[in-house]
Amino acid sequence: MTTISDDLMAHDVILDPHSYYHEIRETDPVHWNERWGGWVLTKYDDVVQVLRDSTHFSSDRMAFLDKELTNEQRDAYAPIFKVLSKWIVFRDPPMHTKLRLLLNPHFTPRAIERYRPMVRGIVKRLLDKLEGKGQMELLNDFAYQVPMSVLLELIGAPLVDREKVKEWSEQLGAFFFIRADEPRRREIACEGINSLVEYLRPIVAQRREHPGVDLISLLLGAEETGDITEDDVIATCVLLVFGGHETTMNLIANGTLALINHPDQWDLLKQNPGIIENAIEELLRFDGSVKATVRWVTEDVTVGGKLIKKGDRVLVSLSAANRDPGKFQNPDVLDLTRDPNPHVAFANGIHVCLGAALARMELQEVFTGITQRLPCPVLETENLEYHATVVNRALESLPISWKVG
Amino acid sequence: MESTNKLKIIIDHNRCCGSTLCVQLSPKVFALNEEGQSIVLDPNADSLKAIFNAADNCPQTAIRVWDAETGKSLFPPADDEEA
Ligand code: HEM
Ligand code: SF4
Repeated sequence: MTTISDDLMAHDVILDPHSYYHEIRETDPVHWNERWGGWVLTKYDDVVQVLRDSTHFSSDRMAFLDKELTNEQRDAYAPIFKVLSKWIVFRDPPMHTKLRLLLNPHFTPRAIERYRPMVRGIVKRLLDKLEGKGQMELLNDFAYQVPMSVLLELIGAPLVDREKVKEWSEQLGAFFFIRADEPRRREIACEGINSLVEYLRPIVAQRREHPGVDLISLLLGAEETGDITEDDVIATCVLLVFGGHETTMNLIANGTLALINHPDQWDLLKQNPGIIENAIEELLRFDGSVKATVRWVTEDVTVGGKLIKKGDRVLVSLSAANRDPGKFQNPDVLDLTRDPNPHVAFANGIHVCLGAALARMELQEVFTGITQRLPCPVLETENLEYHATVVNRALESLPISWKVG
Repeated sequence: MESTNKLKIIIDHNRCCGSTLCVQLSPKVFALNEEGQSIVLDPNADSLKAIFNAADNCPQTAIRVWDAETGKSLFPPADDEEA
């Protein structure tokens, strides 16, 4: 019997999570990870069961974290908790249901179409500038600009603030993604969140004075029902920026890398732009940008034949589910025509990504744009590095080049 | 309330992710099965408007609606289709 390493941050696990999760799925699909202090789920059916069961599995991260803090830590983290405890993604029903029904109409596949021309324009202008250069660092020169511009448009914030908002959003990421023993972790995250809140407050005030048809005005309108407050509105905007920026940017990078490693699939898409919808679903399945999410058990429950106790926490591996041979034929093969493709890159159940339609549309425009305009690029580095986080599948950089002319 | 629709509604279970949104928005028409996916209880138990709203809010575009008599596709609306 081989023993499974429980170091989720080990360098080889960060570089290649898929091999690691294959091994766990084969040996112990409902695995107690002593080091992380919770269960790790790697089978598609188990992952889906948990994500669709918000009764036994809570998303109320802040309530559970709060129990683990000392009074001193609680004070220090207060600014972060104040905002994050209002995020829809960390709420359970009935509050989750109220917020979701309020937000969802703005994010339906049909509602999102109105942003498509804007995204197409951004992609075109970026490629006009980059095409003749023959090289770029994909994340900074290209990938980040698309989602951040759309998110600012969505909340009605000035586009010129893109760089600042990106920086603050990434600072806030320290709270989730940096090792807990990093001494500056809390400071950086507080700085990020305070800057975002201070940035948004006057925008919200302005919208209160002059309501429009934008998302903030709509949310403010719901204040009257007594369900939400100005703090909820601001927290929601912070979440949209935070949740919509890096996830999409990282998928642009992961997808480009996957295509570089499979030039036949790049050519297939170039020659058949009509397959773009299936192609994006496959890029999401193959190397999604959110590797996992966490749930807390509210009552004893059985998963994959094992008893999971009240109070335990569960790491639900979306990446592992998406490569489960029990669900997907040849799961390690990138097949842009795969259909059906019931991947869980946007999760499942009540918390399924609110921005899924937006992300899909952006990704369709981006991958159509780059495959139509550029020849299949080559990688300009031999050692790719990923940020060491359990949750995000995030390249540190992706330098590429291509033939010009 | 009585309704006079004669609809056919199909939910694609390769797409439905169990968001429960359709069930929240039109609980007489939609319900969850044991797998946590949506099924149709009675396609005519709610107004056309409510059913369209439920279908429109589906994050996965898993819900399709037809006129059961003429076979005409009603949702997604045809004017959406990209040329
Ligand atoms: C490729 C890009 C994206 C990926 C892979 C992704 C992934 C996810 C996942 C896995 C969840 C579920 C988290 C959980 O259940 O714990 C989620 C939720 C969420 N996402 Fe995304 N996301 C992406 C883009 C976006 C965008 C563009 C936005 C903003 C417009 C966004 C906003 C949200 C929100 C608000 C939630 C919480 C929904 C709820 O709790 O009901 N995401 N996303
Ligand atoms: S709204 Fe769509 S995804 Fe959600 S439960 Fe209904 S059919 Fe399934």
